[in-house]
Amino acid sequence: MELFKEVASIINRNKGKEIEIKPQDRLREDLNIDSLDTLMIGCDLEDQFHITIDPDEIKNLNVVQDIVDKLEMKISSCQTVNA
Amino acid sequence: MDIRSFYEKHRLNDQVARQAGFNPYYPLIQSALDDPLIIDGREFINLASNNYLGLANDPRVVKAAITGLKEYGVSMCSTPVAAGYSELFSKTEKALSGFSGLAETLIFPSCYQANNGLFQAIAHPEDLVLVDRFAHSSLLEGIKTAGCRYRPFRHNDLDHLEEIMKRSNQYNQVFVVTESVFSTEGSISPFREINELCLRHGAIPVVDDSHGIGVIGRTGRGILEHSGIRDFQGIYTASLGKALATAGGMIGGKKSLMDYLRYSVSHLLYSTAILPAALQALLKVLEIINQEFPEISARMWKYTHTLSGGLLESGYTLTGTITPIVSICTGDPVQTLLLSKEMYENGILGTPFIYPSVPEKEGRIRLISGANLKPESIERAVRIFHKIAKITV
Repeated sequence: MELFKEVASIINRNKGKEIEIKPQDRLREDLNIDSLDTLMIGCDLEDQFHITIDPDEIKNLNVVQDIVDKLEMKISSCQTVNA
Repeated sequence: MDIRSFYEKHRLNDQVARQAGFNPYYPLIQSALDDPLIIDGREFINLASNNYLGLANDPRVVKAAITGLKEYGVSMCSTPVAAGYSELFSKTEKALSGFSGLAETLIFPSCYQANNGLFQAIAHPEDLVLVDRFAHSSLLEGIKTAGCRYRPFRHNDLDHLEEIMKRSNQYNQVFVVTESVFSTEGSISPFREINELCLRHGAIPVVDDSHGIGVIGRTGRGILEHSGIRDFQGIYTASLGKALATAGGMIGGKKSLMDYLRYSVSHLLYSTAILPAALQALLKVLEIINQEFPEISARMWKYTHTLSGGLLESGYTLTGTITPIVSICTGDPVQTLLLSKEMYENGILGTPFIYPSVPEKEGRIRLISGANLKPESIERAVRIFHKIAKITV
């Protein structure tokens, strides 16, 4: 849930809005997120969580939960490497 | 993939146009940029062209183009580096440098080529390009093909830009890319501040002044004049086919860099030189702006204020009213084309932007009131927009 909140906050910051975001909101159709928004969101996640995200990894995601899942996977793989 | 599958895959998806019952793109124009404009045998008020100062069909500019045509023929049939660089070409480059306040200028067949080619020549894999989120496709496409890392910053957000710059010490060179006047939003970049940030962080600013040159600045010289920047240390690009009413694009900046780019931008090196008629016409346009900018631009601004005021009174939502770009917020692609259709049926031509040019529900119809229009045309446009607002707003 914490990760979802962080992702929602980054989306809102990049869209310059304060809307209630739900995990199943579609990125393009519901939240108006285009490819550049996706890239900006990816870069902000990199900064915040000290991970590296290849733009290709996130460009075809559909809903907000997909970003959260991707982020979770990235963070856990980083922890495995650092362990 | 077999041949049939190839052609099946590469078919136009015109679903949005079919849903709206109207395709506003590629209208077949049957006249010069006059008032009225003729399309399909009908008279239109043209709010679609970037002919800000209304000089594209000015008799003096047309006459100059004919002079260029008579003196140099239709084409030099060569790239500038081979046999396409005429004395007229060189004279026009110098005139543009003087006009824009730059040390040296290169002229390309289009600004798309200038923007696209620039980054391939200057940005390398170990570099970072920070680009305003609303920058033009020609800049973004150019940046993507350069093979460097790039990162958009929030539109005109200096805090976001500086925050990213502070985190970017690991890159060899950082570039900051923006437009002066943003082509769909009509907003103006805080370029003086961006330039200062760049100087402070050792970054190279790149500004595309396509919608600023001939429009902003006390004497119409564009973003550098508007921002009070002298001895610009960055890179400047602009279209010559908007307020400057001809064709082509330019890159300007320090002489040493321009000398390098002359021999390293493929889009200049391998493209047939811009036509002499366009160069001669451009010289005349610069002369007219130098002499008549206050009167012409006052007319353009008066029309812009009349139009934007009328639209706001009729209930339309606009992106802003600080530049001569008046953009109506139109929602999703179908809604955008439906308003465009109402305008078309009532004799107004505008420029609709839909996804993927803009995000899905952030459609825009851009309106530019060129100084060549008649006052009564602008008043009629306001009345028409008021009438169709009842259906569409």
